[in-house]
Amino acid sequence: MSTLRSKDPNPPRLPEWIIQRLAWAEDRFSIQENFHEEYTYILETGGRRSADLWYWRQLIRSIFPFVKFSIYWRSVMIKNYLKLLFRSMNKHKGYSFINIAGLTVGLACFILISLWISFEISYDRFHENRDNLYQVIGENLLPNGDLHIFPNTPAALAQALKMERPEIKNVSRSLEWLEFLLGTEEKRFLERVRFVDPAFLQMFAVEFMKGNPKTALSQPHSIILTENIANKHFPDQDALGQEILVGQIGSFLVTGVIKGMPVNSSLRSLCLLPVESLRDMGWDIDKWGGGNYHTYVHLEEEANLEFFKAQIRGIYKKYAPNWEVSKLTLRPITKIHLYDLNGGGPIVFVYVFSGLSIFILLLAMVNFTNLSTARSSLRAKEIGVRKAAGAYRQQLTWQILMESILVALFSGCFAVVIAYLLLPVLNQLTGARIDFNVNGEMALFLTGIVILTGVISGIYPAFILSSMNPVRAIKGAVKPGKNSLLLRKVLIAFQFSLSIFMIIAMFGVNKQLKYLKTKELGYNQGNVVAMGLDQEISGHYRTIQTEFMRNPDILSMTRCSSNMGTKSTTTGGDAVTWEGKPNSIEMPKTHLMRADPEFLATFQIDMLHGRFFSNEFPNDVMESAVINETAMKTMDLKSPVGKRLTVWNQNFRIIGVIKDFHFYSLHDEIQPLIFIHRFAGYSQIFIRVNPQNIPETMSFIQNKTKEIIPGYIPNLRFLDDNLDNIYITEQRMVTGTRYFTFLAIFISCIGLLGLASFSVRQRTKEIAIRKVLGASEGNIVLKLFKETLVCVLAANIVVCPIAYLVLQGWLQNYAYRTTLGIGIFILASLLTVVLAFLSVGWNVLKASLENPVDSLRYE
Amino acid sequence: MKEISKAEEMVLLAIWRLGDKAYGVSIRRQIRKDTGKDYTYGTLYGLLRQMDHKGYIQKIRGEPLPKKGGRSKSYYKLAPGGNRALQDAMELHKRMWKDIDEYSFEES
Repeated sequence: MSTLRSKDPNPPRLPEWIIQRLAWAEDRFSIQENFHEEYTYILETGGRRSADLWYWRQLIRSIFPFVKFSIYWRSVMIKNYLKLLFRSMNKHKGYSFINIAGLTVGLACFILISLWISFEISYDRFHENRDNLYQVIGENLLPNGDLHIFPNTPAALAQALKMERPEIKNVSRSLEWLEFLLGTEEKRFLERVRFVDPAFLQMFAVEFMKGNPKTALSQPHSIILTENIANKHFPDQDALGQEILVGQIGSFLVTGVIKGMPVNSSLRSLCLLPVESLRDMGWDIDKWGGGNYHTYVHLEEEANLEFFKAQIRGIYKKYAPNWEVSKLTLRPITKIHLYDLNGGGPIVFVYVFSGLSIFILLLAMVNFTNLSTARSSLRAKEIGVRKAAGAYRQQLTWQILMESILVALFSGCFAVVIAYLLLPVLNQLTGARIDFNVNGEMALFLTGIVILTGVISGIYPAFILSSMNPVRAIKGAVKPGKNSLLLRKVLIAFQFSLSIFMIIAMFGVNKQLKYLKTKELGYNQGNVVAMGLDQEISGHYRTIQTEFMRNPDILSMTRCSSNMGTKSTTTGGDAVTWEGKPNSIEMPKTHLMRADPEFLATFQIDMLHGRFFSNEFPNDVMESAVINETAMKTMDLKSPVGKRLTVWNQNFRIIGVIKDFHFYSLHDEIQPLIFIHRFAGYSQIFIRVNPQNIPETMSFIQNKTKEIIPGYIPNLRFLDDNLDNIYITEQRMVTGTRYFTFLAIFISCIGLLGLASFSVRQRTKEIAIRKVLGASEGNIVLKLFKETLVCVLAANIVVCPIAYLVLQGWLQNYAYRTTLGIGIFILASLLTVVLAFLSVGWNVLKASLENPVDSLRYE
Repeated sequence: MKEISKAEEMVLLAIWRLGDKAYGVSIRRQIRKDTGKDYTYGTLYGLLRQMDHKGYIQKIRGEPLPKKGGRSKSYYKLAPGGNRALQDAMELHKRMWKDIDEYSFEES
């Protein structure tokens, strides 16, 4: 024995530690002892080297069986946990319902939002060259110091870039704002088309159904139709090789049919024509300056992006020394959808909605945690017995955690079903078209989230429950600690904070939307029909006007270059000067609108000074200008009528000042506006109709137009519908916050309901004794509701100022905004108090109505 | 009754042979002596735990080890279920190998 002790076996530390980790608790010691014994034996007979070697080999060979058996025994335990879980869920149905319903709703919401976000992020990622495709954009510093970013570039830029920079693989212009009457002699529609360079087809993922992408655009007067348009005009025949009329440019040969762009494309699905065709309209497509082209570049894989960006401006300067150059830079194609050029864009919604969905999920987790800790006394006996029977604390923690993970997994399954059913609602809400195809990555992510949900909601109860003293637990002497009581109250307050915030946000956003939609615009937008206009229709305008005005239900009609909401030509700075202009005043962003004399009558706007254009003064065309009130103030003119005005080196005489009206969306303040009168260049016809016979009038307009312009079927819309569409983002926000508010309230209230029903049951005797001593039902209800009331009120006090600040911040986006007022805050507070009272009160009332004898009988 | 696996059979036999001296190290050695198979402790303890659960063997806590803080070693012995299982196994063997001798598989 003494020899053995002198050669005290000292096995290598690391493998010993690994064995301890791997072996299950029951046999850990024995296994270690065995290793020790054999190690000692080999040490004595064969020396340390072979002993160490043996130890390592034995360990490595053991790892697999150890892991295998561990997993086996874990799964046996999970089976056991499942059985216990089902039993307890069955026993406490209401409680399980609250937990599962809450988590299901939270997870379903999370899944839907994840699907939506992955859809938003997928925009423009279907292009094979997505990582090397860029759009050239310009940056302009406005006089007021703001940066104005715009996508329009001159026509000649693309070719110059290609010539100067070797790192450009391909470059293409794209002109996508022209509309033409497109079709055959029998049937024509006003369609927007896209003019591009042939390289466009190599750069972007344009999927050809017919035709050769290499040659399709090489000849002018060739056109590539989208599948839709091809089917519209050549329903039962092969469109390839057919002739189609494009406005007044003439007849085009169909050289290809392409599939429409996918839903997640920021490039709209349009027919493609070669830019060269524009020459036939008399356009100079090689000019610098101005320009409404988008320029896309495809860079070589190894191109140095920053270096390239720095070169663009220099190239511009070299080719067009006479033109004022704004800063030109690039943005990746994959950012076009998510980020609007001048800040904002769908990315804001991505952040806001993912934040909200995480919060909703948190609410559901809070319910779980709260209910589990509240009910810990109920489980105390089970835990106590398990401990007494020799369960390790770690095993108990694991068990309770496992239960919450299992509950989360159940809820996850339900949530998937619910998300699937609600997907159409989401699509309607967001205007997206999302399919329920969850790929592997997504599935893994969601499973991870579900498990994480289980862990987060179960971790606190698991530690609380497993730390109980078994003796006291079995005796039933365990009272929930002060800490967990406090935590529960804080969590309730947190839940209600979010609900209150959502309610206030919902009211606030709604109020602003209502304000935007009902605000007086300064003109009469009701009963006005809008109709598109291209060069060819313009040519027929006199005939159209004469014919239309014969119909007594058509009160007035006008042409202008704006759609009264989002489209506008702007100028400003040096481009605008006038008689007596002091040097101190420089025009800020100024809108330029072409309109004919009927504009005033059609929109029923009043003049402030002078007169509007008139047919009696033929010189009004080209020579006269009308400005709005804001322009007059900005220019600081006392008597503007008769003054000379120069815009873009053309001279006009101001003949009148029109009262301010909102010709642009209410996001911006009314800006200076200059009207000019021209023969052409209009983009919209507006027709004021009699509200009585609208259907007849509409079909009259349809038929007459088709008569005058053979085959043309106009797409008629009401102006007020168009204007409502401007605020579609706000509309979606209203609907979105409504859903989220409902979810937040639902989850908070069922959680509170569960807690209340439990705490009332625990206090049955207290209630009975109070009753015996003479307390009225009302007294008791109030007494028990007081605790919750304090939480809710505290939440209100904290949240209202925050919500106020957030909403005010949001309203800063609007030049015209509603006042929030104290009303919505009071309403939100009242609503939450009432909801809390309903969730708590019902249980409390039930308990207080009971006969005290029943509750006290068993004492 | 379900048959026991070959591995279980070996472990059970080893425990039976060892009588009251069956514990990790000795069982492993016994198996190696009888069959030439070198079981790792991982496999061995996995099997032991499984058979304990099935009621083939019984775990007995021995005397604490003669050192400071020494914990007791676990010994194993056959439980009634294990005894029966071994009998069944032997029965099965005999039936399976009936009328077959060592010359039967010689290639002709």
